[in-house]
Amino acid sequence: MGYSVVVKTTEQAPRTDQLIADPENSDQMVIQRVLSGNRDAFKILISRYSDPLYRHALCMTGSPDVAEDILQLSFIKAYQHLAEVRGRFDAWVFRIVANGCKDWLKNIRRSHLSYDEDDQPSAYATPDEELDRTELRSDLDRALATLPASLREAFVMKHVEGRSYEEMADLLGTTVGALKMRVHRAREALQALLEEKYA
Amino acid sequence: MVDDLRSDDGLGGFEGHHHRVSRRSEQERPLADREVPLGQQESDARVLSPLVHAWLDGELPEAVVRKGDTARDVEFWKNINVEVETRRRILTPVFVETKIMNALPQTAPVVISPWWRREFVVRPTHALALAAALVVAASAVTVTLMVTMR
Repeated sequence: MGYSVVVKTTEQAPRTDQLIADPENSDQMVIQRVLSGNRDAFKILISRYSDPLYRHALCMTGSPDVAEDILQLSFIKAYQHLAEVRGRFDAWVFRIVANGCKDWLKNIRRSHLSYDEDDQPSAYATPDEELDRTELRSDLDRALATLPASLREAFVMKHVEGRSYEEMADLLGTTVGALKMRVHRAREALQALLEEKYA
Repeated sequence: MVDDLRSDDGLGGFEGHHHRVSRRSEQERPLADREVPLGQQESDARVLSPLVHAWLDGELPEAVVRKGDTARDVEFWKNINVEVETRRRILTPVFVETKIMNALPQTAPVVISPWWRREFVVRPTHALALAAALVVAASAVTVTLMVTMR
């Protein structure tokens, strides 16, 4: 199984924050257009939020195929229930994806997760360094897979997605203190698993 | 890794803890500090210094943490951080967007709510017709009862 990493250039589309800042393209306006029958307008919301949601699903499940499926099902669900959105669309759709990931993890226990980035240009100076990185990638995946879903989710949101604790608390409906505890425990568990090799 | 500069719920009391905290002191913490029961692999985990956590949370500069016992932890997490940064750049495969659009229902989304929550509109003509129907029904029931009683 391999990750296929796609690197989009900035010329492909306007930046997300630019689009959101435009009142005509605010989430609420786009939702109104979709609800009034403009199905294609939903593509704006997909483009706007698919990357962070895909990253979350990918890091939670370790499988690009599963991440794509969860993303697809989540957006279909979001479309079907679009009239029920209260508040921020991005937070609402994130919760759909996060729940999809947790449901998948409940049902499937995976012992080995790995990926390669065939499409991504190498950022490392030497082949040896790249080999080391590939090994670290696999080891980190394996270590993440051993964590309970709640710890993995907190670690991914904090470290991979770069969210603040306040934002995480808002999205997950829990407290900053509880999330700090989860992230700390995830770090300690990961370090215990990996430090012998990588410290 | 040092990305959360807004966090204000700090790790109070780490002053002077420039060494790793033992598992024993972790266990002595109040139960309320532990959110869920400890898992199997966590029993093998050692406790990181609060300084390292604070650095990873963006609350302390690296120079403060890169001293004494925690220097090794800093090296470890810098190593991990390079890999994490790579993951942060992963984007959705381009075909997925089209795939999702093709899978969406063709009809516009509608509000699906139970009948008792739906808006109930009563027009005057409908109200009059309903009242008339009720009068007729009541009369019919009364007549039927009177006939039956005889």
